[in-house]
Amino acid sequence: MALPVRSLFSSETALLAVLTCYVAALGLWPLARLFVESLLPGASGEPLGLLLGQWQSAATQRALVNTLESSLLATAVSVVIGTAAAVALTLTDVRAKAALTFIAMLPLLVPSQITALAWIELTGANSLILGPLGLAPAPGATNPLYSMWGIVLVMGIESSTLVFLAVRAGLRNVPRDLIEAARLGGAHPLRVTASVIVPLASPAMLAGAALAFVTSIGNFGIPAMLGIPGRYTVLTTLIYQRLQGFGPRVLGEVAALALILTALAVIGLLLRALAVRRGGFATDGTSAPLRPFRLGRGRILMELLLWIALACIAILPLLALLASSLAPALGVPLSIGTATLDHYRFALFEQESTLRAFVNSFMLAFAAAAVSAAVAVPLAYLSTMRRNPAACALDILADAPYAVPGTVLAIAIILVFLPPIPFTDISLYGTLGIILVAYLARFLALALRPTVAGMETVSKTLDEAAQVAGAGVLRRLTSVILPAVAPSAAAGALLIFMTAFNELTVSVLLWSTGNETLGVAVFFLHYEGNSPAAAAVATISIAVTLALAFFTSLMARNLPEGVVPWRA
Amino acid sequence: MAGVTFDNVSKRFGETRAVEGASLEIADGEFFALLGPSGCGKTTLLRLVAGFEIPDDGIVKLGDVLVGRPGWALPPEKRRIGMVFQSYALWPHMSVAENVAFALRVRRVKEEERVRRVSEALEMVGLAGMAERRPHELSGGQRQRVALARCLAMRPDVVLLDEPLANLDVHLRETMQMEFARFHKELGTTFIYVTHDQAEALALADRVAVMDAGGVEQVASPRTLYAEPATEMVARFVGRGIVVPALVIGRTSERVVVDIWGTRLPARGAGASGERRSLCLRAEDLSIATNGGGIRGRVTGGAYHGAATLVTVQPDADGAPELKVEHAGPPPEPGSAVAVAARDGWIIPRGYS
Ligand SMILES: Nc1ncnc2c1ncn2[C@@H]1O[C@H](COP(=O)(O)OP(=O)(O)OP(=O)(O)O)[C@@H](O)[C@H]1O
Ligand SMILES: [Mg+2]
Repeated sequence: MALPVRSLFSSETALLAVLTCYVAALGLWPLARLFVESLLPGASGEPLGLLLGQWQSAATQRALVNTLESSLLATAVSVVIGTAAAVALTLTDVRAKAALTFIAMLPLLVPSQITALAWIELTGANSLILGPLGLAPAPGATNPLYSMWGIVLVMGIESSTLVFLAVRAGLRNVPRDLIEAARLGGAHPLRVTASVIVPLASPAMLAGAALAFVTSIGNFGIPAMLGIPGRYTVLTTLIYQRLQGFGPRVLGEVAALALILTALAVIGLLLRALAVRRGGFATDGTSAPLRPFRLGRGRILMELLLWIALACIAILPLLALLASSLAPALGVPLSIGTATLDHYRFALFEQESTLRAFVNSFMLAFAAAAVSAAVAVPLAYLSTMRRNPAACALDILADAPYAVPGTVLAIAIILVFLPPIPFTDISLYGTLGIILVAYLARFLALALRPTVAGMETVSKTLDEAAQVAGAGVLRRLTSVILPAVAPSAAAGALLIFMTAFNELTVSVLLWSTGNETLGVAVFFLHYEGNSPAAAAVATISIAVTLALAFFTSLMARNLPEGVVPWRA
Repeated sequence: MAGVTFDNVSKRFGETRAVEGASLEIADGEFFALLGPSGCGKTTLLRLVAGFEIPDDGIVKLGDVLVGRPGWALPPEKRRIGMVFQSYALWPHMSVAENVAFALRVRRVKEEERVRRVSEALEMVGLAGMAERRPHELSGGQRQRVALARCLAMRPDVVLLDEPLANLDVHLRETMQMEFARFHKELGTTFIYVTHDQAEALALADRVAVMDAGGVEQVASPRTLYAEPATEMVARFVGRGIVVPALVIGRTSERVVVDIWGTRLPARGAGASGERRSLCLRAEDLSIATNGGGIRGRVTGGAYHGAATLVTVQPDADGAPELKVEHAGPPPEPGSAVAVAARDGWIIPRGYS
């Protein structure tokens, strides 16, 4: 048994090197490049010229103020809605909680541009829902949502789900004995809620609010659909319009804009980290979970209120979207007899680009999901099970491309992948490849988090037993680790598929003719004035998303805690 | 087949000194037990043999081959080591047969040979009929057997067992102990068996190493360990010996005469007149004296053990530890004054309390 002297776990080191290259090349290098690019001197050579130039321009200032204003107000809206829904669904004994929770989650599953489109259909002059009720704006009037308040409302509703999830988790972590002690002290449930539960859950609410703020800052779909016609420009739409108008030669300038956007996001994320840290004391997790308060006779009233509110927020716009996709010619009232599938036929069969977009988005989403899951498993293995310090660092860094606004990542990707790939003369720019690269960078975190959660529930001894059996690292990954975490990784992959399938923010900056995505197709159908066709395409893609979400929920029953975000 | 050598091995986790200057020679084919209280470093020592930990100091050898030195260790998958984990660590997605066959597959053992060795191993542990079951369809004792079969099928040089019986009930534990002894005899492989149950270690092992706070206190055969503990820790830990201070006052032809609290006793071991030493007393060597000669004290309680009662006596002397006396027949009332006579004692060679 002559043994070569070599370093411990050398094949692990090789695996780690491959993963590091992957994460670095796709996400970290482009982001670093963007950082450097935005700090370059301006045309006349003054230091930090690009950034200062952008900073001092009136358009940027206005977009910055608009971004802050709309995002802060939208955050306020989302805190009100999200907290109210979470308190009602967690602390009281209303019935049909699973159904109500699912409805409260809907805004998370529907992509921004489709949410915006649905609201436009709901509140427009031709609204097929409000029209018959006599509530629609007068014919010819501009849609009231084409304004700052429209953006605030729709963006607030969309990010309310994030607050809802955070507050719900915070409330569930309030130990039951604290509440019972307060009640034994003679406090009425309302008093307990105000003086014990709310203070204990408020860090969670702050964390949720910070996340809602970060999401709103980076939102493109809603300000694009509502703000561009309303002449209300925010940073993401400013960047889009600049690139759209002037092409890659303004990359330096938009990189500077992206840096400002990133700074806002980082502030939001720091606030969130602070709130999460402050919330630590409430989550000891040893005590029994909260038991809902009985509402007695008030319950039916509360249920009514919840159903109406959630229906208005989440269901009505989708119904308006569906109605508009089935609408007959303008002016003819919609009924079973007059409904038509013409718009679907037009979108799918007469307009080649839409069908192509379906195929493109399907392929992109599938590839992004499969590759990301395949990368997430070994990375989670090295960081979580082997506790490899370098892999742990990589695990954290892999979140960066997801944490920054999609617009920022897209510009970073253009910066790096516009020139030909080193040692070849192939440029990914103008191909589906560049969108795929951006998706791979952006969505790795979505596969990594559930895979890590799954990995944490797998005993380390299973791996060690395979190691003493003589299995090398690749063998252990395929024979022992993969079967154990496959469900979690698959849940992550489904999440990626759902998100990527409807993605707009990144692809709107990277698409080219022949390489459209579904999000881009809906966006431009609407932009060109063919709203019914846009509604038809949006309806199909929502149907696909909801079917996948339903499938994931079914799977979620056998998954460890924390793998599926919207599990009731 | 191989023996295992530790030469002055240390392993630290941050501030914790899990193993400190341990030296051991485990012979080829030996059944060797590592015994000690919780947290004393047994598992760490075992993981050093397996290659999961890298020593901070000293060297580890398997047979003649250096497998661990500071900063380097041969990876576990390159050693021919079998390990039975306390949690069994059966792969839940594989059947019993697949679990057992895994190491053989990894080593590319031919199908025919593999099938034969799997069924042999399962036969040996008495699970021939359960090859197709999944781990969750087995009882705790059966899982234990699968873990063992999995380890035996790969014909390892050394078998490591980390508290393999800790999760089983008392009856099953005894049956499995006998099985382990049988496997060891049939296979002739080196077994290293970690336990904090001294009865298990004494019953099974050829030799036992007693560990405390990361260090090896004594390595000896079970008999020697019990009769001649090298340190006070060993005396207390093995067979619940009582350690009392004694003064050597002389010797007879084969015994040393010691004085404890004014009572003279014959003891084994070495000691020069006038030396203050620690003496190990065992319950079965003590008796309640009927004629009144012995260590005076008061009965504080009694625990009925079937064949005898373990009577506890608090000696009258200041600061004396409670004595445990094995007593047949009806025990004296708690509170009554008695005298305890000692038939035998062992002068602990190292240390004095
Ligand atoms: N991976 C680790 N990181 C930090 N400390 C560790 C680690 N492994 C063991 N230790 C510490 O090293 C010491 C020895 O641990 P070890 O597991 O070897 O004890 P043990 O004798 O097997 O105990 P037990 O009988 O409870 O299993 C303990 O203090 C333990 O806390
Ligand atoms: Mg242990």
